[in-house]
Amino acid sequence: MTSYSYNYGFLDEQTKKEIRRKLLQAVAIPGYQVPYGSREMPIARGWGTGGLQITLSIIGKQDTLKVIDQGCDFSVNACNLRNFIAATTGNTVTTDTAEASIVQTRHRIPEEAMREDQILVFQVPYPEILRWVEPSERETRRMHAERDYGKLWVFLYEDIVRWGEITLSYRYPVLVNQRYAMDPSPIPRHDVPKLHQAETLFLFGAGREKRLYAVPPYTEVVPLQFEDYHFTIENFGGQPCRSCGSTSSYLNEVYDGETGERYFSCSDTSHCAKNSRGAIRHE
Amino acid sequence: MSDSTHFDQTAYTQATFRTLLDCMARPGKVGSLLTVAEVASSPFDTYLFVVALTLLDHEVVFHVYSDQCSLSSHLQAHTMARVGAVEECDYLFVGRGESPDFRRLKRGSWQYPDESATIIQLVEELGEVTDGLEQALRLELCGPGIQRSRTVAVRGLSCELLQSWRHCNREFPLGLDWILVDKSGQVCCLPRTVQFTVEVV
Ligand SMILES: [Zn+2]
Repeated sequence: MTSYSYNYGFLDEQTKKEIRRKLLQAVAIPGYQVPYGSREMPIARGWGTGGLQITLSIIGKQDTLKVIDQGCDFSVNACNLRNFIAATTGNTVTTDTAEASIVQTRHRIPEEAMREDQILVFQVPYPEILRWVEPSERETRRMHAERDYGKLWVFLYEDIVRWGEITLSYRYPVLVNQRYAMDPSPIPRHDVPKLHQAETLFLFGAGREKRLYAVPPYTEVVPLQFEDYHFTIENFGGQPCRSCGSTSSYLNEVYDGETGERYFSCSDTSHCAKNSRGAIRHE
Repeated sequence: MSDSTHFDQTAYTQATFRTLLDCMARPGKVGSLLTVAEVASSPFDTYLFVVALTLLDHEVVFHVYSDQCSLSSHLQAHTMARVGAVEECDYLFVGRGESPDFRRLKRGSWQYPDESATIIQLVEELGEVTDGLEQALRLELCGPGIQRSRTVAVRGLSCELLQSWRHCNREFPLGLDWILVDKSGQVCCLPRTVQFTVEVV
């Protein structure tokens, strides 16, 4: 198991050191994007290199790892990343959120509430929330520096004028610790409130754009909203998951090509299976 | 960490980093650094050395405050980091009972607040309760990473230094992050976001 010829966790120690230094700073300045020198990885960029570099920099032999892609442990992307990390560390892997000490994710926060002794690592495709409204990096830097988020507010307001509601379904802008506007990564709105005053440390990595950022536990994370147009999470019309019966989890609409039937099913597949077995602890 | 015949620095610095990350994410939480024979023989304080091994390399600049025992050259030899003036350092190492002028440290810029210094400072003793700690400062902390409030007791730190650190953090996100380490390897982190009240016990 330990006959690998490369370093534990694939990355060289200098690369890990840099990422570790930046992670400490990211935690100290919640929501601020810290630049770092992203390294080439043996997986294509856009496949989660930022998240992967964070995971490989924090992981130790005692960790148990879970990797999900849109809530699923067994998509090609999740399998590739999990296999790569397992092969280069020899660490234990799991699909059970409760058993994991590190969860790496793309586009979801697990349904099961995470604890203080766990870390959630997000793969981030586009870290700059102001990119919706401003193409220039120099200008977005200035806007963050001056906490000048007027353009973002106008963008949301125009959405309301056009559609009667805020239609953004992913990457919903949040304000962290009353200071930085932040991209929570392409999680659904359903997951956004889980970032607020959580027990768990959240780390975000964008490999292509060479940025990492963090939300410490017990930190205020508020979705941008207007007094008369509140942030709301998705509504599935009260329909339960067809497999486990959950009405509280984030659901995917599934279309059965043979029967023509439409139904809903949990996006977090391991939670769904656990819930079906009656193995979820409810608080 | 029991096998001292084969020193696994990779595992060792990883474990140290995770303690620092946990403590930085939960200001006031007291964590424990591990020591092994390989670092205990250092002329530098063991636990400061442990933190230095974990964070420093050739890409950063450090300064040892009031360095009377050529500790800088020792650290440099082990980490390849560059020695620089207080004004330009990324990491400032401070011995027990020293009171450097924090105002000389870089606090980052509005666009790049991460280009700021981190202080790693030795104190006498850290504890989550004040019991048994005489002449300690009792800090009541709040801010990100803290559910409502958290208390930490520190012996070997002056009120003046605390006030001067607070002054340096008055313009968030500019500021200084502070890692306190005591003589038995306990560690506590105070990021620039921390608000505190202090009382002498
Ligand atoms: Zn389900």
